[in-house]
Amino acid sequence: MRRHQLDDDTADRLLSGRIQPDDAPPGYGEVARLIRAVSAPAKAEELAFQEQAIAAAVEVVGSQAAHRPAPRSRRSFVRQKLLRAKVAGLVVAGTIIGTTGLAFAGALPDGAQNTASNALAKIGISVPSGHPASTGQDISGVATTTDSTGVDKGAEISGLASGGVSQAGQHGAPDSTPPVTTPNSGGTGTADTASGGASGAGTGTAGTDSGGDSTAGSANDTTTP
Amino acid sequence: MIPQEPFEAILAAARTGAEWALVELYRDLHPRVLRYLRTMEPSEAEDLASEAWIDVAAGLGRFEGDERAFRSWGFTIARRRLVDLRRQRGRRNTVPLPREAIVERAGTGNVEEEAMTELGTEEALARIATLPPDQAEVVLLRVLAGLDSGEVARILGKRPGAVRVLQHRALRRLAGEIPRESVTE
Repeated sequence: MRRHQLDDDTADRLLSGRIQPDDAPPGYGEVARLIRAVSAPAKAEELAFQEQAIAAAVEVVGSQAAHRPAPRSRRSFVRQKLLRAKVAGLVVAGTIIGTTGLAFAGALPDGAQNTASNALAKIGISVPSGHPASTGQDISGVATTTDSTGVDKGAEISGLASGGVSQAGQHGAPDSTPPVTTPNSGGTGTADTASGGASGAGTGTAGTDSGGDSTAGSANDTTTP
Repeated sequence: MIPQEPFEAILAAARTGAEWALVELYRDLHPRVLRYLRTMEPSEAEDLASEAWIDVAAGLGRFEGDERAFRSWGFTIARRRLVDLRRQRGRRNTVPLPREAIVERAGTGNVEEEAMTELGTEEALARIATLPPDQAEVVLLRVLAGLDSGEVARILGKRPGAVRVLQHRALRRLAGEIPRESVTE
């Protein structure tokens, strides 16, 4: 007997058990019956080892769960992410506010103060800039060209090197303090060196040569230009 | 599956190790897988089905999908076990049952006469076992797992068109259009 030529749709319905044997195309009633028999409900012998299988599965699932991180609900996950974002935002905001405040007070280190001053100037906020950094060349230039001498010169150089922070020369004894008298009245300096070679005073240490009896002057020649 | 509980609830409970949920999944999947394996590899079917079930239990935490996807996944695992076994044996195909047993259990070959009697599951499976292995596997996956030709193609690593050709040939053969005696392994 020549059987009906199945199309794809009929084949699909036949294999999925949606065609009753009596409704099957000619010659395929037996096939429909066979397919229904294959997909019949489970038999007892097919579930004979159910108890052992379930016990094993419970054990496996338990061991798998033990190796997984504790499950978190979607709600707690979202809440934790929000908390992290808030903390990060607070840290950033605190840093900005703190830095700006220090910049207003001019209390930042010179480099940071200059950077903050430049950055805030771009958004219209004026804060003091840092002290310009002095270079060794600047300091050396002052040291060799200043008209100041003694404590004043030291204070000038120190003030430049420290960006104005140094208080050198400001806390010494008042000028009215009388000099300390010592038994040796001999010269202790080298007048030529102190005066740049213009001094006409003696260059030796008179006290040493005279056994302490010399009264030679020890001050620089005041006539030296 | 279980009518009182949606599949999602059963799956969620099974992932926590709830025994009742694992029972539901087992009773739905295992008999189908066992029938498939008994037809494809009868001598190892019980062991393969048990191993596949444990693989399923171990993978529940990773599985995503509905009831249909769960069956497809379960059969994919079972077939992987089958392929591994055959690879270990170093053979390409197996003869599921002794030839005599198949012919005897498959009936007389008189389709009209057999249609008058109630066909049992064992006999029906034995009839399918007379098909060439690739045709038998397509029919079993379509009928037992309830998969469409595209899903079967994915599991078998074939093109959907090739699966449709195999299922047409299988149906024609089962209908007696192609003589059963022409089946060769």
